[in-house]
Amino acid sequence: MTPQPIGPSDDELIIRARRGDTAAFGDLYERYLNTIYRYVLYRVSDVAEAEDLTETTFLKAWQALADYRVRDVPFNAWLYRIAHNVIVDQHRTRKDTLSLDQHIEIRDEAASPEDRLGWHESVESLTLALQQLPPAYQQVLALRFISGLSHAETGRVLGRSEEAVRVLQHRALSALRTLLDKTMDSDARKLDTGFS
Amino acid sequence: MPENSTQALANCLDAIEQGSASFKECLAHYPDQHSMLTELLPLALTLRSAPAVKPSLDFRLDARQQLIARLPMRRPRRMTLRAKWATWPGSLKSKWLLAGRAIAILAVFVFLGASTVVASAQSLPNDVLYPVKRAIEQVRLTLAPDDVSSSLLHLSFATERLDEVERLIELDRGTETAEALEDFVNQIQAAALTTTAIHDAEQHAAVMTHLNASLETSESILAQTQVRLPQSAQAAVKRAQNAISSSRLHASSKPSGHPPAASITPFPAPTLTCTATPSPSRKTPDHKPDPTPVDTVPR
Repeated sequence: MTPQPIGPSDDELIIRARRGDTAAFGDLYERYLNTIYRYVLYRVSDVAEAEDLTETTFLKAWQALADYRVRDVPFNAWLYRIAHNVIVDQHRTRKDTLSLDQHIEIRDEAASPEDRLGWHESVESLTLALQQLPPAYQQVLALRFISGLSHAETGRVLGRSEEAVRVLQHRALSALRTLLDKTMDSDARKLDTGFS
Repeated sequence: MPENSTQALANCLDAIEQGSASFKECLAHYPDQHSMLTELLPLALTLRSAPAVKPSLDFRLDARQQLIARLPMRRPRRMTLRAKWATWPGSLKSKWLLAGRAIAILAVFVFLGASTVVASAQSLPNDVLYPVKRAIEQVRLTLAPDDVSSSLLHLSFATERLDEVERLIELDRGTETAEALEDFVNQIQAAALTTTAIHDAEQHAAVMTHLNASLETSESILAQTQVRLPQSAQAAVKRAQNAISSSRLHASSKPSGHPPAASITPFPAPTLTCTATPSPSRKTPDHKPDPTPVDTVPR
């Protein structure tokens, strides 16, 4: 999943954190902040909300750390599960439409401004469509393609077999394709109406 | 959804991800799935090319301090049974896994009979009943309610593995000891790791004492048995001896602010594949597992 970082292992930091060592938990936080933030941001598309939900994810992880068992699931997989639950809960309590008013910071410095704009729009439309999918579809697509996890790693996060992940991935991509096609048809119809 | 199309999509994604095939090569390789792949692969690849976003600098600078400031008021503590159950992972599979194991052990009792299960406790590697013994051990470990119980179970299972080695040698089956020795390593590493996670200082100290005594005994037994084992088992013995040294080192240092506790050294996550009942000759303190589910993901 993620290469073992230099310095104390996750297990060591987890054990220290479970004893109340907040600095150790802070180290875990820094270690996984970017990956969890990226996962959350592409699920909600709002920078401020992504920051809030990322922080909530880590707070929930701290609260539940005493019950986390190293041998059951890798720590980052456990964090992804928590993040997913936090996002789903947030969507349950807030039924409003998410917007992309606050732009995602694009970090590809090598791309030209034009490329960056086109890329941004393409990804933006995809992520907006992504959020209209059922949570299980969103989760598998975000884990596989945004977070870059393998089928096996995604299976560990979801608590499912690799085969089940493959099926879910296929269904989710098909659903996303259908959704995008409908959106394009609708846009084309609007354009036709406007010019007629 | 046809199984072959799902597999073709997954294979193509893997191949492209690993750089072993291009998009066109995938289409050529699965001509029957051309239409589906043309629709879905570009979608997946576009998602995969999403920019590597990071939190803003302001957020990164402040967030750690703000988070840590909020943590002391929320010190980790065990969740109630009700809360654990309510926050079980979204997938029902995990929820039913524990129940499935409990049912499995009951099924073993029903179909094989209690006498078979009891008899399996004396089985050795490669015996017919050995898998039953290991399955029961795995259930006991799964149902351990806390880290104290887990540590003591791991220690007793390590002791059992050495008993098996001794008995195999007596039966002139020294070439069959590798499995038991490998699992001995797993068990003592898991015991040391789990011990460091015990919160209560008094309990921690008690388990540490037991751990050290157990390691000393194990080292002595290994030294005695090593000379009686064939060459093919010597590498496994060496690994077991190294694991004992690591675990002892692990146990000897004490962190500041927690006098009786062991310090933490990074251990590789052990592969917990087998367990055992305590040996009659070197029995660990008895403890009764509480079938409380422990793997929780908070909502």
